[in-house]
Amino acid sequence: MNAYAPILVLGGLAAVFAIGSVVAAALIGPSRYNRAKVEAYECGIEPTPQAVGGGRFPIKYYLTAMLFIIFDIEIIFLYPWAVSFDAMGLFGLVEMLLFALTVAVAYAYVWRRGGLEWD
Amino acid sequence: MNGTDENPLDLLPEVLLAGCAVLALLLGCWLPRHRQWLAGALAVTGCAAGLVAAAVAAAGPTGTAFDASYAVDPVTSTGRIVILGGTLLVLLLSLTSPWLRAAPRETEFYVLVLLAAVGAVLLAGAQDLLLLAAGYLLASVPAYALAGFARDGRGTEAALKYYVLGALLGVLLLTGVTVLLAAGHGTGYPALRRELPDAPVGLVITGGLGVLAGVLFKSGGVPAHYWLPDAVQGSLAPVGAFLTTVPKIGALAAGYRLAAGPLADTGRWWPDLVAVVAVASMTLGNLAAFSQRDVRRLLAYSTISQVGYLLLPVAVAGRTALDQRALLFYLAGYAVTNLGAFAVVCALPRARHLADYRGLARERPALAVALVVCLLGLVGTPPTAVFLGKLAVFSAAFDAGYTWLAVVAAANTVASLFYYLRWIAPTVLGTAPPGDEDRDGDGGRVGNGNAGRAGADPLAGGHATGDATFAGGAVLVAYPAAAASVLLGLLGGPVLDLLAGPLAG
Repeated sequence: MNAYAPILVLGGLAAVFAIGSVVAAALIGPSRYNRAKVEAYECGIEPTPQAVGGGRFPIKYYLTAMLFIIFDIEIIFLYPWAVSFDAMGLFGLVEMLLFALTVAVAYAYVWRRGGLEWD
Repeated sequence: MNGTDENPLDLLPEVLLAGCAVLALLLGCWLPRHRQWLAGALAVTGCAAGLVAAAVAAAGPTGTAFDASYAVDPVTSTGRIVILGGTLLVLLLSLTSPWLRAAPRETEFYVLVLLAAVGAVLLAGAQDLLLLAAGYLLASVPAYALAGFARDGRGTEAALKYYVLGALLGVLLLTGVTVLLAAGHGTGYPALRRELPDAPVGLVITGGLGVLAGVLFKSGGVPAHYWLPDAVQGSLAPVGAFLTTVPKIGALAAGYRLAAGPLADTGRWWPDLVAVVAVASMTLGNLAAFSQRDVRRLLAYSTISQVGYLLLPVAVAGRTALDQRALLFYLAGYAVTNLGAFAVVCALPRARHLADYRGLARERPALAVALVVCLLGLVGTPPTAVFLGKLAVFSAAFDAGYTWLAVVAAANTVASLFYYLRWIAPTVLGTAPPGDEDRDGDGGRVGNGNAGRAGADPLAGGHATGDATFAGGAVLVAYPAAAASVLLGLLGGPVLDLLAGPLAG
């Protein structure tokens, strides 16, 4: 148990800090309201007036980002396999081909369903 | 990586399911709209082939696969057969749903159902905490998409609630896995079983709690049940049937495997804790079901209370010889009975409230009989399968020295009769009124299925469009499921004996 004591202490400190901050702010903070407090928090940037087009991103950006993650995940699995290729041999090669094929099916699906078209 | 048990044929049912899902996805991309049902037919074929493969594997020897991370034993085999059978029924319900057959994303529905079913099977067979976590994700992520499949307001609410709670409890599960890895120096169940009794008790309990959170989320037990009523009410009826049946089977099998394996010799905290959760689940599920007027919400709360009974053998796992067969038999009986009740709901898409079922016995006697059989089955009326399952579960709790648990469960069973009767009474006794039905105060949750068509008879004969009042195809599931519920109860003795057998590993 002793080996894990620092983790417990760290967790305890984090909990005390998080709960303590909220409680302390509620207890000792002056509650004077002004306009800025009810506005959306934008890291110091004025939330209004917004940029041209409402300041919003087209949802297509998110779709593209998610499609990128499919590649990302594939690479994450390809690296350790490439490093330990000698140890895994033919079994590993077949498994990796099956994996890559399944990921390719995901791309075929996206392509056929129009996910790669911007407009 | 010892290379001795890496035989892909051990996983033939899972491979068939996953392969059919990938093929169906490709097929759906190239098929014209009016032939999309072929993808559904492929999914049904995959399920049926998987069932055959699972039955063959069930007759074969007990063992483990892939570096002892996956068990092939009676729990996995029964889990496979019940999950695949349940998935098959859900696919049939979907293929006969007029709304879904007209949906532009029909293929995706079948693919998602297959993938979630693979995840549930993996949960049932996982003998390694990492595989358990992977199964949890595979069973959850397609189900989130299924919950929001209709892409309407309620579906979005269902999917969002399901997803947010799933993400939270998934993190708890992963935390539990990490802590158990720290305590037991491994993730494989056989190694953990050796190590955990000597590990620090605080770590074991923390890790066990985290893993239990994941199991409770997938099975829909209190306190991880919040998503279930909204997800079942807000999503399509076949999705509700799937969510309340298939993932539960995998999760409860996983819970049993954890209790009988790595956590078996770590003290009395597990049985006591799970017993409390079970009591909370059956009591809260029943109490909440009393006041429901929406039939899907009522069925959702009914499944929460059923999970309470199903958690009994998980609590007493390893403390009696009756635990495993009680759990497996109850799971099979519950799955078929619950799917039968949902099939009746699918057959009457516009009858969303208890009052809408008034006069069903007169208008559609056979459907009413199926409904009454399934509802009385869920109560646990002899000679249905759930009756025998409950009997086996109560005896297991009694045998393990948890008499109070068996008594509380029996009392809950008697109490549950009341809300099932609230549904049965209008079905059997009432006559369908010619005009509007009185739906006084639905708690603000009036179904959108028939809200705009007040005065239309929700039981009347319809036509095969997306707006049908009677989806006749669903009776293909309702009648066999009701019959199977009774048959399984009558054949209970021999079936129960089949389900006993040692765990692998």
